[in-house]
Amino acid sequence: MAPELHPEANLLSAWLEGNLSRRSAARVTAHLGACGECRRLAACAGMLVRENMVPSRRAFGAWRPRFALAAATVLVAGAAWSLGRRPTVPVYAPVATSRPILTPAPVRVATPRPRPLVHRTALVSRPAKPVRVIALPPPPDLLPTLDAVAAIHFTPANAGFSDQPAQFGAQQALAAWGGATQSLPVAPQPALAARLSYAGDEPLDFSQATVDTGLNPWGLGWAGASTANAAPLRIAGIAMHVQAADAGSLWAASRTDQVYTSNDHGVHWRPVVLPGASQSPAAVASISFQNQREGVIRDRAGATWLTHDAGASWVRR
Amino acid sequence: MARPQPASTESRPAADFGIPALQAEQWLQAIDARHLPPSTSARDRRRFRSQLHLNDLMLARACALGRDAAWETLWTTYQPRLRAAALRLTRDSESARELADNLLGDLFGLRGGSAEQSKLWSYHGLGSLDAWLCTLLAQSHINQWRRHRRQVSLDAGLEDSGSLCALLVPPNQEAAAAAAEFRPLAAAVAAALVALAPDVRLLLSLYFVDGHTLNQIAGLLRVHESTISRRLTRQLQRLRREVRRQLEHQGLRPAVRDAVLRNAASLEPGWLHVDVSSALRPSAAPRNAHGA
Repeated sequence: MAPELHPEANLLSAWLEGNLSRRSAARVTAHLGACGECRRLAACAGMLVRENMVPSRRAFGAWRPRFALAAATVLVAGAAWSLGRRPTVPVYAPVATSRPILTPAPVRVATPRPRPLVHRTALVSRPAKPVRVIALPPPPDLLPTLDAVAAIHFTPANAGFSDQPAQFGAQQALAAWGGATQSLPVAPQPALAARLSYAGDEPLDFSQATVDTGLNPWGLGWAGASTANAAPLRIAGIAMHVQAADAGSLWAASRTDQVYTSNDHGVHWRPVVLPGASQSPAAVASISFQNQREGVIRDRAGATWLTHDAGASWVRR
Repeated sequence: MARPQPASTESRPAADFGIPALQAEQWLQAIDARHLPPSTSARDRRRFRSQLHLNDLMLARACALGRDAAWETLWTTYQPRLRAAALRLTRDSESARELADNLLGDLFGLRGGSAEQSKLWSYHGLGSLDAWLCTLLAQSHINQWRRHRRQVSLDAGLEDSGSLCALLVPPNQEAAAAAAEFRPLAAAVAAALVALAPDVRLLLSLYFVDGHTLNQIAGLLRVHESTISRRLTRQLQRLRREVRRQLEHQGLRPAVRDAVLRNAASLEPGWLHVDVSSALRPSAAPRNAHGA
């Protein structure tokens, strides 16, 4: 299922009844948390399921063995306790006594003192609604040469849902990555990320990530991949395939500016000089690296630059 | 591909509707392939099969195949329920009848022109047939309502051009200044919201964005109302702590940071006044149609 698709009626109805596996239910929950349309549908259908339909046969069915086990445990424990307990019934035996039998004194029954009525405050308290509306800030100032990444879509093999691309400022990007997964080998440069979309709730392999950059004033974008698999990168109007041999190596291209590379997760960038070109390729079609040293850059005019030494020298074909 | 073998326990519901066991097994394998990754273990596959609503699934497939007995069962069981559910949605008997009958027509395959186009083929038995039909009904109702609203809003826009002009007016300076003042705070809230667990995000969205009551949320999430209240309170406290932490890690100068914290906290002790709903609401983006 493509990440941008909403959960179909099968999944949603099963989620409403609690019939999905934990993993699938978590995906639907994550999608509902971000998709207002699906939340509206779930609320509407959930009302009908609750009020109109019979309860699911597996709402209890899944717990039936556990209930049976718990009940059996309680019964066995109770029986053992009652068998092992010493009898508390007194053994009466005739006792010789010389005291006269007296009539028992009247038993005073203590009447309970009336307790004052206490109005308990409701435990259910509705938190105060926010009163001030503050819009999210626009993306902060970006680096002079590299602009924001528009969206990062993770598409693991079994991911069926996507989050709505959320707007993040530069300072939140790193936190966003940290919140998305703990296993990312690449720590992106925070000042570069502006929007991020996460498609699942499982640890992700960065090689399966597609970094989608948006058009910016300089037409720049960046991407990196930790394995030899190509991570298609799309800049508005330019489709790029960027590969990096190791986690920290990133390559970026511009529609009108130069090609840049970074070896420290995008913290520092340096321009790449391509021989034979009076200026950098006007429209880079793709950047592809097989490993840390060998890579190729193609432009829209059909020219190809090859490097075998991590960009130190280039050969045009 | 291995030749499908009929399963003994799963072929029983199929036999009730006169469906060959081999055919039923092929359907089940298709459903497995649709909802389970290829690497799923045999144990998980068996568990998945055991959780399917096989009776409902075979009833739906038998109806889609055009079996009269199955149709009679479906009609007598679900037609009154669908009409009652539609009435609950529309609160108008005529609209309810139309809504329910349209869905039944889809199930019959009337719109596609043949039974092969019946919507019942898309039922996979993950949930009950009841819940699946309710979801389809709710989707139809929402689509209808959306079409109607679109027509109304277009007419209203033609009559009142002033509202359109209002959209073109740039935001006033005061609002912009206020937004700038609270920019670090809003950024901190946005960062804190990113780290929310999916279920917490759903809970906050249902409450703050959609405006559902605690009772409604409790019904949707199948927990008690007081549980929802406790969760909300607890998660808001966590969110508040996270916002404070984010503000401290934003790299602001101490004076600015203290001012932001002071301003935020002075509005109401214990709670930073930031509109969580606006931060939770995702930005507008083109979406595909619902898969229902």
